[in-house]
Amino acid sequence: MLNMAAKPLLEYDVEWTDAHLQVQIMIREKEERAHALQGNYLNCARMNVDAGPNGLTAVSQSGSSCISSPTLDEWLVSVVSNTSEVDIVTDIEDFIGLVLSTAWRRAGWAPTHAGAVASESCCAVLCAPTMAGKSTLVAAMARREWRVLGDDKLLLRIGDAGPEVAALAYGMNLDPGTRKWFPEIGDLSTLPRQSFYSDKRRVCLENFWPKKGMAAGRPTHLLRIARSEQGTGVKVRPLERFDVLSTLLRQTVIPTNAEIANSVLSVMAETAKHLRGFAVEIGVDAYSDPDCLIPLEKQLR
Amino acid sequence: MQPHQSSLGLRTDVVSAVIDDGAVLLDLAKKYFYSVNSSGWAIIQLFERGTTVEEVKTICSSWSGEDQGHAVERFIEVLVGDQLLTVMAESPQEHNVNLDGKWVPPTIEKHKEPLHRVMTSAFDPSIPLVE
Repeated sequence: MLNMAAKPLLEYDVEWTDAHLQVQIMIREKEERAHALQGNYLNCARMNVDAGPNGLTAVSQSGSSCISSPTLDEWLVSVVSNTSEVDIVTDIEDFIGLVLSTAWRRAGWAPTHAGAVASESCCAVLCAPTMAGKSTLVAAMARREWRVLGDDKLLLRIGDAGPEVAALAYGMNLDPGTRKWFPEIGDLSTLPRQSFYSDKRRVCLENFWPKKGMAAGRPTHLLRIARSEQGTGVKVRPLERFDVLSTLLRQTVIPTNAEIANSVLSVMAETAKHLRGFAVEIGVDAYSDPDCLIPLEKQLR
Repeated sequence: MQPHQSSLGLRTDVVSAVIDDGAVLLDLAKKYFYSVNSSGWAIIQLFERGTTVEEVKTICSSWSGEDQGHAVERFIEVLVGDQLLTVMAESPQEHNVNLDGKWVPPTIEKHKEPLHRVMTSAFDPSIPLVE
């Protein structure tokens, strides 16, 4: 059970020198299933979260639960023992994600489901839904002169000098099929799957593209990524100012709590003001052309 | 609801943030978000404190120097139609809202696609994939 809890935590391998908040998580087994919740705080695919005067309570589809203290710095995860390994692993991952994202918000950060790459003069936040190509684009840029802050997990906040982006994990989730474009990654199919629901494998950035990891940056650009099944190459067009904010809003979880939502919305709105946005359309087999990113890189200078 | 006579306020689960030339509103119940221009944002701030439609028209007319009844009514129709306002039991407070910049007719744009109600996880707001 502890190994299952450690796995999602070990993914966060970027070292932070200051401890902003301390959170305690206890894990136990139980036999009885918790009742399903309405999800007045969050509705997720495999868990609902309610907020109340005693803190947050999450219940998964399998009946496991995660309950916080009123101050949100202590959590009790209770895993139903007579359930499948798939359910146990995914429930623990979901609960750990809830604990961490809650703590980051309390520390003033907005957890953001996005990638980011940076050069000397630019830091671009890469936005797209799950499985839309963020990680592949990050890998393609890491092979060139770009440094990487992450492929799907970042933190954003407004610092004294404006928006800041912080890295959380240097691991990347890549599909074994990307080997045809990035031969240096070798055969990823021998590695364990990143989750039960995806073919992707978790790889370490440093193994293939050394010294490309970057811990923090000041975002200057936003890239809204989409695959094109018809087109070829990489096409880039500017985004309208409000589309930048709209895109950014779709990359963060906004709980149904006015105070928290206000804070997250304010971070995203202020960040969006500082970003030049582009829609990036990636055509079929675009990465087979080693120069396919030149049109994009021209816009980022 | 009799909007012209009642004291109305912005629902507490409608949150807002200032952006260039206005603000963005997010309805946490329905997940739709709206962009308003600077004049619209000034009107929203009046409703944040509680006000009546007639008072809003009067204040906006004083900001612009001419009658703004129609422009304000059209704006408020959207707020009422989308149930962003609620009747307040208390009397409106004294307002200290200032218009930022020059008066222009207020606009409100509702964005077509709401944010997702059900998301993949506490970190990933994407629509869950079929498992």
